Amino acid sequence: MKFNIFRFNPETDTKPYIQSYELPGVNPEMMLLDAILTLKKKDPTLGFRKSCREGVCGSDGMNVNGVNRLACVTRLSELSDPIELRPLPGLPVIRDLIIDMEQFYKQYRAVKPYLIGSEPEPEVERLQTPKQRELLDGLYECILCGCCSTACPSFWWNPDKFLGPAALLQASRFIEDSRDEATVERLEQLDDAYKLYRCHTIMNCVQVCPKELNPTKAIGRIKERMVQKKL
Amino acid sequence: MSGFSGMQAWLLQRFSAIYIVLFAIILTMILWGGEELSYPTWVALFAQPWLQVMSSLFVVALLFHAWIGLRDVILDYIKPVGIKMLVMSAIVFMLLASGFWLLRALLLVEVIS
Repeated sequence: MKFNIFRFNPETDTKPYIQSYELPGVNPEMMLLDAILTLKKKDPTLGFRKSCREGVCGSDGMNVNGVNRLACVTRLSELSDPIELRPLPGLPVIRDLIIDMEQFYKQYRAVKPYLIGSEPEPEVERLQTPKQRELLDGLYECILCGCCSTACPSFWWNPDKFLGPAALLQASRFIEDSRDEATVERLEQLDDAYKLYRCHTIMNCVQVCPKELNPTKAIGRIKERMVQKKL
Repeated sequence: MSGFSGMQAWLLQRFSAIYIVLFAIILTMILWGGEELSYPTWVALFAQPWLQVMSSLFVVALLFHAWIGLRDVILDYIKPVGIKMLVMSAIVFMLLASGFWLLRALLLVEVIS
């Protein structure tokens, strides 16, 4: 199997380039991450992130044959040969497949991804009915791998102003939460020309999400809540 | 700068779209079902008060719809504030000019008939 991998080391290279690797006799049922780890044994200079290697930590997001995905949960048999690996698009490259995710995290922090409340802490947990809890399904599972936001043209053009699908999914997660007391403030914060409304519903985020979440639907739900609040 | 809050623009775009489609359907049905179109029948058609009102509303809906759509493109792609303002002003001028011209045409129909 042939791999064409994006390489860039800011200390030695002036320009990024594509390096080809050959990996003979691979088991097609192997995960892409295992193949990359094998390549790294041959070439220890190859840089990429990984941690849990089972689709939970979200470290090894990369652009595989033009699609953002997690290397650890992508089977080689799903991919056409040669496999082209590039860093997630739209954010600065630190080295090889490693990107600087600061802008992504900044937008995540901007939606205040935590429960806000003024009530004193109760003796027991803050209880929810099963119905209230159900509203968080499809929102809380996000692992912040960045595959969706870096697949979104609106985020590419305005990463500083448009929050991006990942952060908006988180915004929805706390807007929907029955225990949160800042719903109105959250909705008001999002009501400008850029933060939420640069989404044009092209659904790249839905297509690439390795956890099969639906940020477009979450964004639609935020819009619905905004209208409900106004009426 | 954009004139509307995010939600107002979004709602306005949707409501204007619904009206534009409804008006287009109604107008198509009238033109299809009616007699052969000549200048006098066309003038008589548009001299009817209800169609005058609907057409005027259509012009307004179309202008808002076009403004929000073009504004979206500008907000997406044009970063420098100066150029942004310039392009936005040019579009507002063009839309207002087209709008007044259309309304003038509607008023003239009344005068002619």
